[in-house]
Amino acid sequence: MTNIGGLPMAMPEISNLITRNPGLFKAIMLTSGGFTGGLSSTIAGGKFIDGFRQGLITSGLNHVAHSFSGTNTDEKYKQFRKGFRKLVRDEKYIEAATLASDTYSLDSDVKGRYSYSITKSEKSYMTTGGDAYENQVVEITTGFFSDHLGDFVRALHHEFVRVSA
Amino acid sequence: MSLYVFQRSVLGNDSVNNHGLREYFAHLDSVYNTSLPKASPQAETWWKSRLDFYWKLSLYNSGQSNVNPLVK
Repeated sequence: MTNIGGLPMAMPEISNLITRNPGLFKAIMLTSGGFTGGLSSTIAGGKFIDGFRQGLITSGLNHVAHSFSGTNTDEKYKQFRKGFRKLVRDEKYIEAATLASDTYSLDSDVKGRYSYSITKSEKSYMTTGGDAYENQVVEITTGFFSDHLGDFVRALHHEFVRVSA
Repeated sequence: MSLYVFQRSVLGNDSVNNHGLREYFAHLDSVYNTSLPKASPQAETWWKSRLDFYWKLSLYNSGQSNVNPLVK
């Protein structure tokens, strides 16, 4: 056992995860900073969530400042962009969204709980709708598929958070 | 993997009761998730600009504040 950001952690397991996914290690650094802030706040008599927020932002800024600027220069991204753009050219929008989701594991927590609806529009937006505990419909405009690819992936990820709600 | 994993572990399925907090984390994730392709500066600025609003909404949703940011 060792200590990361004030949290005891079993290093052998974490090391394996880090090897497989450097992004996760950054997330652990970010979030363990948040936990430390929260715990400090509780000890000082404040509200946990206030301290947590401050800790998260502080550690977030610190680590992001030292992180790589994104993942849009690696081979995975280049292959994804090539496949995505081809599907969009062929107007296979649902397949393109599925490729984005599969490539970056965006829907791992919500598989089988949503469906796509494609709206023909030059505007770029996504929305999620549906009754509680029912299938959620993620609506995406065709314009968004031709927009900034990083924005598309992050927005889709964002919509899946809503699906999980 | 991302902050999203962490927000799920913190929030569980309680988001119906605290929509603001889930959106706050979702926006935070949209800005700082380094596992996803880089966003445009415009999108990043937009998500950052919404953080304060959703934080206030989360406080209102959880009963820690009487100020509803949805009411101007």
